[in-house]
Amino acid sequence: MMILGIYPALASIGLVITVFAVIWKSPFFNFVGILLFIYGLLKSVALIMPPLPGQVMVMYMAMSVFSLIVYFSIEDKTFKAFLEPMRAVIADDDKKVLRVILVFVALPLFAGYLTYTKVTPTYEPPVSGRIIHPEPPSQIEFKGNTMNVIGLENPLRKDAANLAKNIEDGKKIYYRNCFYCHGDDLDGRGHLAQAYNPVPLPFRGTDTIAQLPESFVFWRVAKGWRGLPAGAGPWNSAMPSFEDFLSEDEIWKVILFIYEATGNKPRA
Amino acid sequence: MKSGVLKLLAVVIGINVFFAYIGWFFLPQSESRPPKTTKIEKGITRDELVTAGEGIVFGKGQCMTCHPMKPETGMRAPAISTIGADMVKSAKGCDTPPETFVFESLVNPGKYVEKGFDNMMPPVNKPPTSLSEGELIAVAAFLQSKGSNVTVSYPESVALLKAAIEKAEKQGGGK
Amino acid sequence: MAEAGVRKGLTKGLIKLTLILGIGFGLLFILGKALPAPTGDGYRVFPFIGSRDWIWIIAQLHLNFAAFVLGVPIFAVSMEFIGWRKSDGRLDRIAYDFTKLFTLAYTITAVIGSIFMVSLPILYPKFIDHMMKILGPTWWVYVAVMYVEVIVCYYYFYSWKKMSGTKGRHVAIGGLLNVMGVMMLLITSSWVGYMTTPAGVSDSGELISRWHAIKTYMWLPLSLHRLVANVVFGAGIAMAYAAFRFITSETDEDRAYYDWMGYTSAMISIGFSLILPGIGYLLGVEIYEYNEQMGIQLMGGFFAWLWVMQAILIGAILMCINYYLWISLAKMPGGERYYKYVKYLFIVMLLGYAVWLTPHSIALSLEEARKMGAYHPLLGNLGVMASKNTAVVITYLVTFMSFSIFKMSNKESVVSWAATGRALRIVIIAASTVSVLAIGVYSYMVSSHVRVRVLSPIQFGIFFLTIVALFILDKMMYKNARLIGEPRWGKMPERSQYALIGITVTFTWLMGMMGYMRAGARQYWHVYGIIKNTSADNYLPTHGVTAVIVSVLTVIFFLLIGLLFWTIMKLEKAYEKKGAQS
Repeated sequence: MMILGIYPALASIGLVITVFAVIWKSPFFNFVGILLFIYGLLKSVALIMPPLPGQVMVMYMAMSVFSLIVYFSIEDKTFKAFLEPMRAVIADDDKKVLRVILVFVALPLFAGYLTYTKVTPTYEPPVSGRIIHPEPPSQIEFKGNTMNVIGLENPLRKDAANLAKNIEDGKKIYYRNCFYCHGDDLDGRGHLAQAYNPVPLPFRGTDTIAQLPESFVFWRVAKGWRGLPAGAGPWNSAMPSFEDFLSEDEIWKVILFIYEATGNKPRA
Repeated sequence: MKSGVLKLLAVVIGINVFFAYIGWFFLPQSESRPPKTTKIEKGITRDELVTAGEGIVFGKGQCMTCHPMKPETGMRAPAISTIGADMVKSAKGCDTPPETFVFESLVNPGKYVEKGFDNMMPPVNKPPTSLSEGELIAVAAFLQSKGSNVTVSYPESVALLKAAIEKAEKQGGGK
Repeated sequence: MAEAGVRKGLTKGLIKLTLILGIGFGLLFILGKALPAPTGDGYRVFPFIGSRDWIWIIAQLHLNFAAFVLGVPIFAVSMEFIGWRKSDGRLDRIAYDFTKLFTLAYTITAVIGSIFMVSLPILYPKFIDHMMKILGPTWWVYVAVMYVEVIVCYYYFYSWKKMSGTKGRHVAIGGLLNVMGVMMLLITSSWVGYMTTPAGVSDSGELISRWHAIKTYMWLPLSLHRLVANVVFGAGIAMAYAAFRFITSETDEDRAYYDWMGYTSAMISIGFSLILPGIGYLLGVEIYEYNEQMGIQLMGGFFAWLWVMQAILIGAILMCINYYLWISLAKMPGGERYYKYVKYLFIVMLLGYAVWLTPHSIALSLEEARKMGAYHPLLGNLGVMASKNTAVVITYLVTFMSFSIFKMSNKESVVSWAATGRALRIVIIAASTVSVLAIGVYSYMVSSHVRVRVLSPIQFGIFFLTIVALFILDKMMYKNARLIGEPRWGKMPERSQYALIGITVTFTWLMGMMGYMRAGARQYWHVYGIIKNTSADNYLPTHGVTAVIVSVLTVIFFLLIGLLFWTIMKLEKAYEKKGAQS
């Protein structure tokens, strides 16, 4: 954000240059000022939304340069005045120092900068379009039985008499199995959490389990990373398949617990 | 006069070099090669069949030209991510076995058009897409894997597929 | 040059055509026997650059010249007609100059066409066999029409001076020339139409109905698109010719004439180009109608970035033509009164251009776009059809306003209701701008079906209504207007002429690129869905390679055009000398 702040400043400087150029009737500096203003403005977009892609920036700037040159060459008088500073730098005797600086300092620096931007390595990971909540399959195989995921309900919810006990059991199961990654506070910040990329999902908040039916959570707990479709990047998940460690009953109990502990309600 | 001609020549060549430069350095560079036929071997496992089908859906089949992966507003054709479940539902609705339904949807797409969509899909067993029998079964397997059980296999389902194609021919189906 | 007898000219033309065709057929026969037999799947390979690139360059060059010789007669004859009705000698002279251009261009067109005719069957024997089987008879009709066309064309040109007494009959001959031109265009379009959207054949490529194979989905829209584009392009070349003559001319008198010729050609070219998007839209609709998949692929798949390129170039062309008109104010006495509006027109142009070239999806391929599915909030909203159509209509309006400013800059209205008229003009412009913008905003809220089929046509309709209304208003307001001064033709800075040349070069480049896209829509098929391309070149190259090839052929085209211009100048000089001696 610190760096982004300079772009509105750039735009303002451009505006100031433009105003002075208009007062002093110098089309060339007018041109420079407007370009600077446009550049600053386009870059400032990043303050309120994702920045414009580099290619689009190049397109907009090239279009501006082309169009402004067109504009400043309409009238003969303006065009001459527009070219005047460039002509002066090349031809005037009293601009010798400026010439020398341009050729021996500015140009090499510019070439060096271009080279630098071309060869400097960057460490941006490739974009991955991971689907975080993929659609579950309609059926899964659970310990040799076929289960319909769609329409599956938590059988323990109906058992109102034992609900408190079941939640208590779920709590124990949670602390024996899930807590290391999903955390003491169920916020996805367990002891091991930072070792993973992406980090384990939190259960608090309104955008994970609060959005999901219990059948989905059952599928995720039972099948782990291996159950994820390719689009959701199973290789990017460390969630074990708990069907290998827990019984059907135990999974339902732990699901009861995580909803209860976070105060979320499963989606119907 | 001579300098005028030379200047003009320079302008013409300059503009063309500039356009070529834009094309060469600013536009994305990829070739569009004709798709390769995917060989489906006898006795291929279900998972392999699904994976092969996914490759065809994204590649040779060009399904992604119209079908989006996830449902989105204004989509041209049904989304792939839930299509298996959707097809099971629709198949039940018109009393067709799910395997026949998926095959017929591929070779005679005009027969079952989902509500809210136009009939615009070309039969993919015919040119220009021209998927082979093995490829069609792989695509069917991939589609089924999106929300339902994969019930087709190679080469067991070939007979069913052939029946669907024949039926489509008789109807003069599709466009 | 033209004063050789009509009969002599005709004989010369016929002998030339027969000779070119004869050499072509001879070569075809000899090469067919002498070259090694084609490979099993029916291909021969052109040395060094490969068959595809060779055919690509030759076909596009032939098409460019053909577009020129078919497009120019349309407005040359129209101008002769107007010049005759209005007894305007200057219009007659310009029409004659245009005729000189396309008559000489015939030879080059025929030579390149002949090379094309030899190359195709030699390099792609199997494919051409199929084409001859399906559409063979049309080819022989084509040759016959070509003969008639050449006879009419040469007769039209060589009889110009002789028939100056019987102008009506001469204009009728010009009309016949255009009828022949349109027939040639229809025949060639049917071939391309068949290759892209085949009909009338069975799945295995057996002929069922020849008429259906001719009358394909693409046939008429493509022909119409080409017809109008030919006028645009022909006028573009004429404008480049005028600019070339302006820059190289040594007398003020010549400069004045060529300045006027350049201006006239530019206005014809841009005027006709205003209806191109509409016809292109029709062509697109037909392609979708034929095969949705092909339509989507052409509009948004592999070619997506070429559409961005097209937007950049069209924007540049519109900017340049406005630039030309703004510069032209300097030669109008009283033009300086209007400079103050140029600033605002420019700002609107710039904004319109920016919206027009904004790409919709920045992802590089369809697959990426599908998988990521995310659009930039700003670009995603600017880069869609709703805003682009609006931007184009607005820039068109600006262009028309630049044109009307130029037209009225040396006049002063004398009618009693001048003030009301001025107010009315402002109302018309404001009303059309606001309604176009409002429809543009509204298009975001409706389904694509309504946007494409209803709202976009309404936007373009408003634009045409506006220019008709403004045109009539100006005609009435400036009736018997007080003239501040005659335009000082020839008093133009050279950079204005370079702008004209730039427009023509860009047009030509654009034509090459769009031609590639039209052909590329077939992907790896010779005849879409019927004859597969199994040669080594059956892939679409990268955009970089495409751009380089299009640039190369555009440069070759302009070298040939330069040769043509130079020949005309030499002939003119020789003729002047002869005139001075006798």
